[in-house]
Amino acid sequence: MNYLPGQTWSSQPAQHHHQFASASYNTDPSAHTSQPIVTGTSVIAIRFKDGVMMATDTLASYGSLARFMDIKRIEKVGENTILGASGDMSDWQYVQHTLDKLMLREQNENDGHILSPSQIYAYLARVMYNRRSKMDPIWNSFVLAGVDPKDGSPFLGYVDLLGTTYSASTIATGFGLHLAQPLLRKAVEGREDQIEEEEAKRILEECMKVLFYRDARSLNRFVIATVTKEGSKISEPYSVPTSWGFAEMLRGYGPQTQ
Amino acid sequence: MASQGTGYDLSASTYSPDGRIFQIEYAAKAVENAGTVIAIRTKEGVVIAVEKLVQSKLLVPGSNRRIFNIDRHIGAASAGLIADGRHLAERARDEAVNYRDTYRHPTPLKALADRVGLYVQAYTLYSSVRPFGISTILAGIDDVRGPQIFMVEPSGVFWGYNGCAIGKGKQLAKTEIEKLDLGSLTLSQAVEEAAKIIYKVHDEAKDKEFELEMSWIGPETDGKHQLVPDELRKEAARKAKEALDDEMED
Amino acid sequence: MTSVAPQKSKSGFDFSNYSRNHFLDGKGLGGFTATSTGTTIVGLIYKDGIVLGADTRATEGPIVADKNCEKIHYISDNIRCCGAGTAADTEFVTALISSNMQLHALHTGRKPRVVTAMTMLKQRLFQYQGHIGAALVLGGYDATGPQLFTVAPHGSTDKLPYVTMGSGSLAAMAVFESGWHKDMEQKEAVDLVVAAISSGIFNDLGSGSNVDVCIIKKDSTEMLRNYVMPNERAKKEQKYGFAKGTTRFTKEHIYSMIQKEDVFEVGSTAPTPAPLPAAAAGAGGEETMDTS
Repeated sequence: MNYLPGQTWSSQPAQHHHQFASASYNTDPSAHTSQPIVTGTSVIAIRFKDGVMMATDTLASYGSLARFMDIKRIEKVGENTILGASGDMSDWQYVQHTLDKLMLREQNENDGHILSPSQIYAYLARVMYNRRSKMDPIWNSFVLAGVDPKDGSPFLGYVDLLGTTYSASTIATGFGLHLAQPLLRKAVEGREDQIEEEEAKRILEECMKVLFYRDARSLNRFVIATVTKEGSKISEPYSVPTSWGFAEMLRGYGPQTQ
Repeated sequence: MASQGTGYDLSASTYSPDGRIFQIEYAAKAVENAGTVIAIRTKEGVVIAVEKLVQSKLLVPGSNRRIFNIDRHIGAASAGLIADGRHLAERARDEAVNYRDTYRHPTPLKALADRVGLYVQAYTLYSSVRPFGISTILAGIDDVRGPQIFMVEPSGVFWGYNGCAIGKGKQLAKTEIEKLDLGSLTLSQAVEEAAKIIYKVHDEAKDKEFELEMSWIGPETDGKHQLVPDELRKEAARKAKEALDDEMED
Repeated sequence: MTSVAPQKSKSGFDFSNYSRNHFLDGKGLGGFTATSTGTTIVGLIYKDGIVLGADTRATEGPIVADKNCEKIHYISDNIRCCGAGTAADTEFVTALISSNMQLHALHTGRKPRVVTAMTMLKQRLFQYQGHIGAALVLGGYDATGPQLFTVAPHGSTDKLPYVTMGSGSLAAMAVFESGWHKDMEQKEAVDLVVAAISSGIFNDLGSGSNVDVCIIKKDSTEMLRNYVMPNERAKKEQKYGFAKGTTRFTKEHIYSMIQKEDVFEVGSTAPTPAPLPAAAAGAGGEETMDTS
């Protein structure tokens, strides 16, 4: 009953090709990524009064193993843009290097022009779509956020391994799509220009807490990055308090009472 | 000057009987007749200064850049055929990016100079191309040996320098640089000294106007190669002019 | 050589159509959609009892089959069950267990207990090894207090103070994780349930339309059907019918299609037929029979 590709709510959702990918060897001399190996989970981001804010945890998982617990999944790209990555970590490192080269070439020109967030986004989106068209995707979902220094306008965009792009005042990837996006939309939509930095931080922290509760590949250690007209900054990693004793009074899973 | 090596000087692939390749030597002549470029190395960092001979009053000041960013931590300036200078800077950029691709690390100066030298030398092998009519100064700071200057000649030969001058005023400039105590100069002092030298070697009679273009890299720039900020440059130029006037009076 | 025809099992599913369906699928003629509820269903325990919540959208593939179905099923007066998954399965399994619960209550002479319903449901679902696609949130208030369980299609159960099921369960759970705490007041609890279901309705494509809420307390059960209706259809801006005279016609011919029949009983004891009113004679051409 689930032959339609768009239908995701049935109890037996249509098998996605990405999850299926058999880890078979490739006979071609060229490389074709068929499945992510070391992965990062959700990235969440919102637009607020003075700019944009983004959060990710510091975990890179190796399947179900919490392999690297001190990874930066948000990096600066120039002074006015930040990029958050979920998905395969080796592809993330490759994209970091690629964007570094892009910024280097622009800086070499030394003509007073710098790439704005929307321009870097356009470049990245083209790279992603181009690779997907060669059936060799960069296996990530990215969130790019920034403030254009020329006119102070904020930018928040999503681009993924399929080359899908969209822009909104709240963005989330991975599990964040299901768990955090509803909360972000409720808190932000309609009042983007009234949310102060403190409140924005609280909203993201709340979502990171919920993600830690319900995403089995997450970690309670995360960073929050902010970009405003004045520039960008990425916080040091920190945690939020959680409470796990909500079912103390209950015993068993059925009739058992002791 | 004329008919120096008659018959043996028509292509770079021809040796003269005394073992010289005249085309390369003629290329060096192109450098000798061009505007002066100097570089100074201090313990803190490096400075590049260019005597930009202005061909027309209609040219916008500050345009027609002569000093190029090769990587974030390296700058290059050439004396000679300006177009060749741009081409070589572009190639140097590609080499620097290529090094980063392979080693994921900023290019050390020596490695870059090596590649640039190799490239320049390639153009001395064939009769179908001409050698580059430029000498190029590569200056920067790396985490291998700190501040460094290299100069690549049309033959492809390159050496490391503490202070270096190329172009028409190179003799005078070299003398002046030798007078400096490079070991104790600060970067800002070096900027002023470089300006003074350029003003000194500029020949008022032969060439009309010139623009001073300077770049530096050191603690004040956080290790990044940048053009010297306007106020500092103007201040240095003012002091240089003063020094010149003082000398005139003596 | 006589061959014995294979004995058909009297219980369980008949899988004899499997090979037929498989063949049709291969030809591209398959795709028999079952109505699936998509769904966001939730339940939580608060100070005085249980609050259950559900959306009201039933889907058939990408199409909304029912814009206002009821997903909170009656088990007994003090027990209700929200159902997600295959609509037919949730309907029938809850109806069956409800029926059995009534019999059980009569047999034992006691008010029905939630654990009884839970055990009946889980034993049936396990027997069918997940082929009955019912994911349930079962809640009620019985002699042992407020009870809340989830029952998954393969027959496992969980006992928790707050639960969500269905395709919108993550959206709803996000709201619960942010807002639930022990001993909530009724208004707080109902508001949280409404917020959770709304989160599912607006962020999950398989859920939509209205919010149903059910409050189960010690001595009362309040079913609030369509408690919140955040997706009411906008009033049509104009009348979109065609004015009389839009279509020009060149000829008019009126045929009388109505057959009128009067049935009279003949004989000395036949009653005298009463005069028929004029309107009834033209009403749809039905035969009118006097049965006095």
